[in-house]
Amino acid sequence: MRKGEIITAGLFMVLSGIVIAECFRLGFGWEPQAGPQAGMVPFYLALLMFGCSAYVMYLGLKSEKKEGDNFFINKDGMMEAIKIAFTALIFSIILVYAGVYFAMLIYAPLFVKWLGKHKWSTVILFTAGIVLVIYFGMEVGLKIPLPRSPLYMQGKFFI
Amino acid sequence: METIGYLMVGFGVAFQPLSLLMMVLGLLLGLAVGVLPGLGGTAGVALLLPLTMLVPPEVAIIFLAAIYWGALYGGVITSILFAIPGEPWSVALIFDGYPMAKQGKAGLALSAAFLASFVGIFVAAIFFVAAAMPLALFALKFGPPEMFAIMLLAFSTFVGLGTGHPAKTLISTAFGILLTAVGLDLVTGQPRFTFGSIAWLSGYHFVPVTIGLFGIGEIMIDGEDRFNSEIKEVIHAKVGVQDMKDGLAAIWAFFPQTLMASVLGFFVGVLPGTGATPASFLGYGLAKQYSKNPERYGHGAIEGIIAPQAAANAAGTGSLLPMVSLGIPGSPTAAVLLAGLYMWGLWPGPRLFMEEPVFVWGLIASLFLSGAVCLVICMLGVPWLAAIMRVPWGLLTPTIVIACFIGSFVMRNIMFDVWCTLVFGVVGYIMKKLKYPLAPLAVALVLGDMTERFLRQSLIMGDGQFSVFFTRPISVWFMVIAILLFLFPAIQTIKAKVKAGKAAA
Repeated sequence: MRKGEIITAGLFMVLSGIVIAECFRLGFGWEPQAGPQAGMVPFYLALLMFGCSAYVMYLGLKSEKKEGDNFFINKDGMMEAIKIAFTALIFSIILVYAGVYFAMLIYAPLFVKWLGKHKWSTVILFTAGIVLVIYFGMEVGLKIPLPRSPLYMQGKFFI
Repeated sequence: METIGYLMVGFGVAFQPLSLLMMVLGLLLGLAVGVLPGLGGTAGVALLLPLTMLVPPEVAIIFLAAIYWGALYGGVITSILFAIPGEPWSVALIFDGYPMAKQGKAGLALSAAFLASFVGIFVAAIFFVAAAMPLALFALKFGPPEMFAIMLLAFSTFVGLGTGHPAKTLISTAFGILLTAVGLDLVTGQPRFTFGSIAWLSGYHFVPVTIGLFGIGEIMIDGEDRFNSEIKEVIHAKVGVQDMKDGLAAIWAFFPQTLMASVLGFFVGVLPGTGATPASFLGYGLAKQYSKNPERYGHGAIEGIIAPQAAANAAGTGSLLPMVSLGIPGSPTAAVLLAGLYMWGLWPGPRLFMEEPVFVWGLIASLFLSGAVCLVICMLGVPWLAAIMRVPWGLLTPTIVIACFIGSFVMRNIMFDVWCTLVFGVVGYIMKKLKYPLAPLAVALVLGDMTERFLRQSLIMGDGQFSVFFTRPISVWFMVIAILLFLFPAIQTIKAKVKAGKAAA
């Protein structure tokens, strides 16, 4: 926890710094006839955030490392959280560049097989199920169009 | 008397077939959300917000509020049967609910909790009806300084009364407000913090950020928790007729406590920024403190289930009051509902009561109705609801993840929101791990724009002098209370140090 605490506080301090730098460009003073400039409120908020993160970092540095007080529950837990984030990243990339159907067709089997450790029959049934539910639920039922691939845009493929 | 008339109009709306259908659908979804680990009421409501564009606003709000009630009821089931809180506000139910279930009285524990929920909602809804109009009319006198002062008050309650570390609460709040500053400046029209990106010009939208923080972040925490070695015994139960009778008898026997917890819960809920979770703990503590035999608590005392549950649901109802009448959400879920209001082009506050009575009173009437309908669904549906818990993790999680991303995307149809959801998922995971409170972040995301605008308008009114907040009769009180709440943790630390100093001497 101690290391995570210090790094996170440091990141918040960097973020505050970026905001403050931008506020210098925008101006954070008082403009006659117009009132507060665009950077005024963010400037003071960023100062507040900087001060608070510096304090949290100070508390973290002052504290001593305790046994068993780790950021992750254990190694397996850590790997699981990372795998969930990693698969979500893959889903996002495919969703953005190739549309929602390709994303689901790759993400669902990946997750169910790799993390869920289910049988192949379950994997296939689940993937088919979720694709059909999303298609009929969203696009047919609620008439909300979902993003599709560039190939679909050129009329070369059906999803 | 006018109020009764309006309430009748409200019931007219709530009893329309479409409203009833959406209410039941919302309750079922909410119950599922409440039972499922890794998906809370806040994420649940945020996820379904885009879909509400398809129905009129008065039906949409009934639908979303029903999800909230469902989640309030649903958390009960997992707490009592599995000792796993489906929602943070059901943690207090584990203390006595799980021991009762292990003694074979799960059905009774559940029915008592459901009945207590209903009493909590019902009592709070009566207070709601009585207070809504006067509060909205009071808010008619508000100008920008008062509005800014009351928003400051909302943020200060997180610092003064919240459970998080005050410095971390302030970081969360400032972070949330700064996120809303990204994009075009509302007053001068200048682009701010966009760093040359076109996508950033339209700013961060509340929905993808919230879905990331509360949806994806929670999924990651939940996945990791599976490797936690403490797995508890799972108890199967259904609620029989005898359980209902016994539950009613228990509520009747402890009616003063139930009523007290409900009233207390309502007022805790009305305080901006607190919500159902602290209310349930307060309800439990209070019932225990005033009990004739407090030693029974923790070993399956039925009043230890009734009091926190009544308080939690009353607080859930109460948290909607400042949202509708002042535009200040009392909880993160109320913040999502408020975002919905803005999305449908409605402006909370006195004008809403004048211009959209059907919307406001439809919502109020639906409080009573959803409470009752949910009670029936819960009593009959416990075995099925408990079965949701047995859906394998490896199938449930990808379903929620896919729903989260699609839900974020369809809001504005821009790919930037997909990245937002992903990034804020990781941010939410880290913040939650390090105990940075997420509720002030969610509230700041909704109120940030307005807080800044009201501050700037007030300063223009006051010619750049902060005295504008302290020379007006209403705002000065809000400001004083807000400042005291901000200083509260510091005062406590100093008090503790003085005490320790005395003890050492």
